[in-house]
Amino acid sequence: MTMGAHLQVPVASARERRLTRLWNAYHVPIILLAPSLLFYAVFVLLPLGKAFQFSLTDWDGLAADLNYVGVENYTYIWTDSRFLDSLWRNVIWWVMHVVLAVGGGLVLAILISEVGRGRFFFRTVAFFPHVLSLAVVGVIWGQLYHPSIGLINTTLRRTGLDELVRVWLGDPGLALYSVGVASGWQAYGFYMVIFLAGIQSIDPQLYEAARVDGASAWRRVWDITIPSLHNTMTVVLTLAFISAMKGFGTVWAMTQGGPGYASELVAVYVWRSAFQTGVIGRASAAGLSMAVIVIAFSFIFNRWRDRVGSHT
Amino acid sequence: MKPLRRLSQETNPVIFTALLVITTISLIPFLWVIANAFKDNTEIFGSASLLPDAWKVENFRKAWMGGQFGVYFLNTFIVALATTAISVAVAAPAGYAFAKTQLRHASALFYLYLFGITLPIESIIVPLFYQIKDMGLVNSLWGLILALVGTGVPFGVYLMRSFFRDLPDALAEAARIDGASEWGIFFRIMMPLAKPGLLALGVFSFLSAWNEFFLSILLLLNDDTRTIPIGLVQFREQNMSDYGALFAAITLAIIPSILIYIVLQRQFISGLAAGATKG
Repeated sequence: MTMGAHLQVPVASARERRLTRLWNAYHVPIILLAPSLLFYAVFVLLPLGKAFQFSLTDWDGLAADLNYVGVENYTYIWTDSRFLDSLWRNVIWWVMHVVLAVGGGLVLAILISEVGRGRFFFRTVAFFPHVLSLAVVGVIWGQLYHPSIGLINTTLRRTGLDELVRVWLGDPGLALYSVGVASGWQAYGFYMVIFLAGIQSIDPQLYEAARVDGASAWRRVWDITIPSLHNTMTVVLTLAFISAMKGFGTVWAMTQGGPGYASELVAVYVWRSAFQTGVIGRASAAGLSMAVIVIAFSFIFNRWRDRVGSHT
Repeated sequence: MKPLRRLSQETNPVIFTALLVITTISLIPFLWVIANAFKDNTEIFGSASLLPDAWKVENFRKAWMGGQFGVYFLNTFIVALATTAISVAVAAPAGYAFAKTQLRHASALFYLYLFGITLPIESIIVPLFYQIKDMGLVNSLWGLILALVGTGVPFGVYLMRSFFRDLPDALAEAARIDGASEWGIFFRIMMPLAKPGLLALGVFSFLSAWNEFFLSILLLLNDDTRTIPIGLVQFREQNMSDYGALFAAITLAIIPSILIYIVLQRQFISGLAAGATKG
């Protein structure tokens, strides 16, 4: 016993010395990093842990105690046609996002890079929709789609195309697509700017060589610009997937997921389940399922694109 | 951002016309909303012309008074300014730590931040709401501000790390030889050099917070805490049939976003581009 006590002193001080040494070496980065880690932990990591905890319970948001039900919420949502339908709508939403926002952004970026005079003006003006809040976008497009005073229906009536007049946001078959167009209008400017930055970083000598060879603008785009955008395209398609999977704002400001469930995306499903129906566990399970899909896709897609990129 | 480089020497009239047409179509929603803001309901229903008969400002008076837009503007400004200041103050040191200190080999920790960029906050909104509620910060601008800083930290750190990494090590080395402390190097040498990066993150945070909608609808429930996006949606619910006033309210919401963007667009665009393209 005496021996043990005798031995403990040098052991403790050795640990202390090691800590002092680590502190001396690392206290600057630790102090620099601490505030960000605190914010990140409190507002992201901790809620993430709680989301997992909630997803294993049948909590209604009010009860004092959590009642654990195992993976019941996960088996429920993954066999629930309302959740699976909302996931399918995200796939449609994603396709629309890629075609309208990414495609539109790419076309505009290429046109702007090729136009000569007026590049700065066109970039500035084409970006306008993207600087608006999704709430503002939703309210604007809600009016454009308005059945009686909306620009779309009044234009159709004035041009004699009365049979094309629709209740754009009230028709279950159209609501999702109508909101998707509004969302594409808001988003294309973002991708345009990223594509333009990508085009700026292409080696100017490539274009110089093409000019010497007398290549047309068309050839320049196909043979130089598009292939050189491989890495930019990877980033853009990843961002587009993430953005489409978490789609919420435009839908919420225009239809709140309706009529019925017709424009309900997964994020809207999570929201309605938690804050309108009060099934917190189910909402958390749906939210985490979305997170897993987003992170798994981003990881796998980027690995794949890197491998494809290194071969070319 | 560098001035956009010219790929072709001459202005191509076909491309110029195509761009003119596309951008005009894209601007039609703006023009239509603004023109309608000056019309009364009979004109909105009856007239085929885009331009109003007379430029009536009555709608703007109704929107401003009826919707408490003065309060909304002030709240939005407070949220955007505070979020920006705290975000930059928190993210810049961390970005520097990852780029320029011994910590730069701590890649596991950096991956934790990258994970935070990919994780959609939509997926953790439920516990996030209850946590802010437990902190007593629902219906307070501070609840929104702190949550925006927290959820924005991963991207901010990532962006600042990219900017600091591009700065040469030689200056810090020289200062170290001259006996400068690590803190002196950070505050007096590196921070001033990183000013373009700080500005880019600042402008990005400001516009994102100015436009924030997702957390705001959950957290800001009172008239005196509403921001412009929430206030506009609320105004629409209450003025369903006063179209002129609604168009005026939309116009009031559009103007500051466009003005802020026009004034700060260089920093904003370079922040966006850097965030997406830097490794």
